Amino acid sequence: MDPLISSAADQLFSKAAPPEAVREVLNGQAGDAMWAEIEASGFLDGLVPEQLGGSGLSATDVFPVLFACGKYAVPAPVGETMFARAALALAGCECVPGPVALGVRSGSKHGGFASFDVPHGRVAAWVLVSGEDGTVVLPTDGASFRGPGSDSLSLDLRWDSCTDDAVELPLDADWLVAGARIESAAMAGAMESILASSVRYAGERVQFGRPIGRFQAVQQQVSILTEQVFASRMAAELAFSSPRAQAAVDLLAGADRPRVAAAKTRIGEAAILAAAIAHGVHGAIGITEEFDLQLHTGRLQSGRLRFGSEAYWARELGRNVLTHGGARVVDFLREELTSSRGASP
Amino acid sequence: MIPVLDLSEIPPEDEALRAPVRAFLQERLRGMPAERRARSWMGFDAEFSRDLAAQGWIGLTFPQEYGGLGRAHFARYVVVEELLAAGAPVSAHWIADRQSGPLILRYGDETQRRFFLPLICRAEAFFCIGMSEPNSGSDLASVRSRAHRSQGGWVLNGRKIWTTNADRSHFMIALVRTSGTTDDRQKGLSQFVIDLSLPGVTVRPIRDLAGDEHFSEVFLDDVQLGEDALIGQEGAGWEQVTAELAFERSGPERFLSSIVLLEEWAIYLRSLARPSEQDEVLLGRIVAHMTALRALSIAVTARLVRGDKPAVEAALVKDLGTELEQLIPAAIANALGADPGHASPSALRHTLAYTSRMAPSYSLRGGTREILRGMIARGMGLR
Repeated sequence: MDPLISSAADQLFSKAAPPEAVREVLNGQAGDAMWAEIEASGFLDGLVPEQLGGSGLSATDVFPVLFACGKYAVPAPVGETMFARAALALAGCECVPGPVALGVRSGSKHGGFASFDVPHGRVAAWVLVSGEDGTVVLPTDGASFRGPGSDSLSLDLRWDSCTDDAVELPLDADWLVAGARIESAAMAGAMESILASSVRYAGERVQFGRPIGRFQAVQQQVSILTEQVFASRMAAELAFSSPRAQAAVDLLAGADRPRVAAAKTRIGEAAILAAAIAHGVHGAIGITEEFDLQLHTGRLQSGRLRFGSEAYWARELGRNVLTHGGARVVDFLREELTSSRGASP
Repeated sequence: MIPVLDLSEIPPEDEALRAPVRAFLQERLRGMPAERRARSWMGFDAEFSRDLAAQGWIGLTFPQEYGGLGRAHFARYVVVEELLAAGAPVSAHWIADRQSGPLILRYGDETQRRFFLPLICRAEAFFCIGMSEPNSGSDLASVRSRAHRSQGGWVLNGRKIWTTNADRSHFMIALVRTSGTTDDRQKGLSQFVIDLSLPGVTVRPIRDLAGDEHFSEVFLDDVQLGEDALIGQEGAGWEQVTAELAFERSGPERFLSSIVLLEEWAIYLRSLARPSEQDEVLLGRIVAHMTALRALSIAVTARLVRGDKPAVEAALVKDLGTELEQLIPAAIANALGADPGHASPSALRHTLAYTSRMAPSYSLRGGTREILRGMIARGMGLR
């Protein structure tokens, strides 16, 4: 992980998205000020190629930014907007202002569009609706129906017809893979915060005359949590480190999909365990609204549902392994999932 | 806090070893049944080890002057990964190649290096490790076996147990007390290399639950050792053992113990017209776990290459790895029994039976799960 980008992202989000600001957005506010600060950082054009006016960052470069989004529970579609802006630029379309959400559970019928449980839909200005006939970017304020989604940031949205300002995006992109890749990084970041909080609390909270972290039962649990966090971070980093999926054009095409499948599966599994252990260590205080732990465990629960859960991605990965030309599982593992150099000849 | 493990990669020159090793194994292991291959690093075959040595692939990290190839840690990582993936019977030379040789290279004197390392590289000296005792398991610092100074050397008395391959090895490197009492804990311990053919050494094999006799009890009664039997410094045994364990815990063997079973199951699934959705999900889950584990294991190896001592990180990877290794037989057993009216191939069932029986040992050998988790908690500042 690039330490410079990582510390720049830490600086940005610790200032733009402190826990009280995160709460306000989760509780219903729009978060315009937060978004303005994020916009000013320049990160949102990170994936746009340099010749098209962006920073031309690679997947490896943006990983620390998306990881930090999870670490600070940023309630805004930062990764989604980065991907959408790159897609718009590559397709020669004009950039749309404000946050863009990804609507992958979508359909279009009789000239209308619908997208269900759109992550960050409530705080987005635009939703990139992907369907069989391609991708359309629609304004959220032009929607004819808005219904609650599976968390306070998600929305079911419907548009009766294409609005005047809608943008048709003539680009072959795999938005489910894009979303799952973004979400993997954010969930790994959320887990890092959960671990830090658990270690801190176990060292501070005294019961039976000593910090609870002195009890072996608690130590064993925190060790399991640590392992899950290490595994998740590695799985996420792998999904951003493939040589075949570095440039925006390849990321948008969904290159190295099996790595994303592995990451979303592994991290989704870890998330259940990590959230349970963290809450166990924190006890009743962790159940309160005012304690920050809930921001991160809530983020993990949302993340599992977004862009395919473990069940979806594990099945796809299992199928990939079985249809991979009769090679051994270990060869698939090495060549498709863990090599930083791409497939060996 | 335990430092983050950064994504690392195997250098191309080391990766280049994979193809020749794989070709050699395909030829050499042809026809070996899966149930035997499932024994992997518990499968003892001295002839196989000698054939491997003839290729230069034992002790390949040792300098050329000691019979090795002077290759990097990652070269060994590649060789070992292929050996385990193929289920090669590597047990005979395994401990010497992984632990005893590197220990002698690092802490031994020149005479010891010149004597032992070439023998190891030729697969002419097999080693075992004398750590556990009847009353010292996880609490290794409580060992009671003892060496006293004598005329021109040492006299050794005590007992070791659960010693893998003691009955088939030429030498043992044992951790024993040379000063103080068990109350001195980690202080006053030293490591000795013991020729197992010496008078006073008695080895009694112990049958395991799968019917194999891979571990033994070793009795040491007034064993006379020369000055040259001491490895490293007198009293520095604990530190030396800790360094040794970082090597033991970080390799690919810590997530590949059940790989032969997994490969056999995948072959079976491919033979079906349509594997069930449950089976596809399970395979995907297992592979997702392996993805993170392999990258973590390579990251720890990169630390070792840099000369760090990532003992806690290695413990973390080992604990995660054994969990997956134990999940594999448990979950495959469930999958194969999902349709009571359908028979799976008998070779697959035999491989499953062996792997299921041995799986509990994965989180015992090389440090128990509970001890490793204690190390991780310490690494995180909780103790």
